[in-house]
Amino acid sequence: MSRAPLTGRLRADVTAADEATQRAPAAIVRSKRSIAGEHLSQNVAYLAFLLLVGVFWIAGGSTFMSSRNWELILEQVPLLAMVACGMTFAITAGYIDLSVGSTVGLAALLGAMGFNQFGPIGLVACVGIGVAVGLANGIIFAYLRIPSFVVTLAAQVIVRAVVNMVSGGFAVYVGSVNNPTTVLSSYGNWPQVLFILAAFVGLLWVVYNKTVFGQNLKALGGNEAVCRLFGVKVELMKIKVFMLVGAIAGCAAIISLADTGASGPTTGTGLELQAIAAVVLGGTPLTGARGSMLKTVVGALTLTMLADGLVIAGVGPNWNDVAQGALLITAIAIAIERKKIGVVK
Amino acid sequence: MSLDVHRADDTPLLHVDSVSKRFGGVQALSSVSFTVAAREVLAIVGANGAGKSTLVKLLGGVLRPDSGEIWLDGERLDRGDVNLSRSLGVEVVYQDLGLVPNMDAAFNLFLGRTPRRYGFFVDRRKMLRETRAVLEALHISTLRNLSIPVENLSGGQRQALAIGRTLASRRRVAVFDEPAAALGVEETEEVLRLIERLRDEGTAVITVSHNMDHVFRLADRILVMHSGCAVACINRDDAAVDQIVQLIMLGEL
Repeated sequence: MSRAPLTGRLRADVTAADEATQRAPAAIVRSKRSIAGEHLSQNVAYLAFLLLVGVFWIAGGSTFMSSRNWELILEQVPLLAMVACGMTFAITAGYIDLSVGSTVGLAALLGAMGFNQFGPIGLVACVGIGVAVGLANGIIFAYLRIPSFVVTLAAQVIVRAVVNMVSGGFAVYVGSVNNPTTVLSSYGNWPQVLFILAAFVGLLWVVYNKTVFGQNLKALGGNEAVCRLFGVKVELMKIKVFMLVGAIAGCAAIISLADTGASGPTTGTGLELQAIAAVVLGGTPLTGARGSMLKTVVGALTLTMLADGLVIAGVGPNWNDVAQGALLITAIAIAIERKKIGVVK
Repeated sequence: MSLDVHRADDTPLLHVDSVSKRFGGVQALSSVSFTVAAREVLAIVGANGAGKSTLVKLLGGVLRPDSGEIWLDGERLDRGDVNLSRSLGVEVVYQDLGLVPNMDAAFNLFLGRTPRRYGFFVDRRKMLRETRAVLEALHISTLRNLSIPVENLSGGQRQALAIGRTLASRRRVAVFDEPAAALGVEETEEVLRLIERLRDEGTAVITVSHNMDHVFRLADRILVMHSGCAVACINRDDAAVDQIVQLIMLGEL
């Protein structure tokens, strides 16, 4: 009598928040074995790296461990590491940016042109292009509500087409072909480039871990609907994220120019997939909600070292791609939290 | 009982003036009006689909009314702006709690208004300090580690966090959507006591509930919704359970 015969709830209330908040709490008491498993899955990035160093040390011997070879590896890492760090921001929020490779291509092209025209100040074009592509991605993603996968896939194709149109299929050299040494090229070498990378990653680490933006990013990956309900400006966040990813890709293009001294029509091709691989290898799940800048860098280092090591071990370049794929699957298989995943698509 | 002691203020704090909201072909709310004063508890009851949750979302600024106005102490808050509602002091505790599972207790308590340092950085120290204060006020002693994701907390702890948001803010109006749904007896009692406490501290409280025991214990007035209309607003002391139930079911006596 005292209780109205009313149960159930409004359909509109059954939101994503339900699924997330009503998920059974994880066991508070964990066995020793699962703690060990957790350590393993959280540090798979470091393990994969150490394991591969061991394998190539045995297979490649002194050639692989020579300081010249490590300089070579470390000179190649920054481009991929920077783009992958950018990708970590997108993936943490649960989004993806497939356009970064093309963005690097266009930014490097216009940066090279700008450098030849205006000197070092012309490199601003790199960052400008990155921000512009990111802004376009972000606005289309946020306001037209098209999945980021589709938006950035389209951007990838379009931006690459622009690269081909502007370059006419030819490479643009920084400086001249006969005199390629410029102010820029000295920064592409070991060890300067590593200092730049370290400073850059340090800055991004602070943004990712210590700012309100970084925290809200992880929250968006956890439950976007709830964030919106409590006044997080989700659309603005989306635009900011993609602008940041684009800006970082622009900075990476400068590193690419410094390293190679030129930009070609294929600069940056396939970089987005390598970057995603580095992020995932670093233990960030593609569904977002958490991640680590440092582990992403280790992931990028591992992938770069894998390519290098296989060449030294005398394995053909096609096998490099096979090995990368196999490494990726193995790493995810170890790192994934199967218990927490309801549906796999 | 504390009900005998407390007395609602005479002038209304929140004034909802003939708000309407339509979703496609469904008229979710048609010209609903009511007021709530400080130190008053208004219970909103009604069947599923009566428009209660839509009303809650209008108050929270999640939705914007098609027509009508909502005033809080001389300021309009019907722009569909969550941050406006929150900054004016309207705190909503949603039915599904509204927690981000992968973030920790402190972050969730301040979701949408994380304390900042130098404009960009999280003021972690302040967050932890105020979170501890809120948990203490709620008599939650089991939650020692504030840095574990809330998905690892118990149901009661999560409920406490969601409700704790009203304590962590400078609220003037607290809106509870099914505050005690899916809670155990003890936890429910805690929630009801908290609502009474908020009221005694001068907050205007709106609570949506299906539970007539709770409604009759807490409410000063009872607003009955039926098919998007506010069909009656009755003083608790003048109301009988049968009467309310009939209003909920039929929309008339």
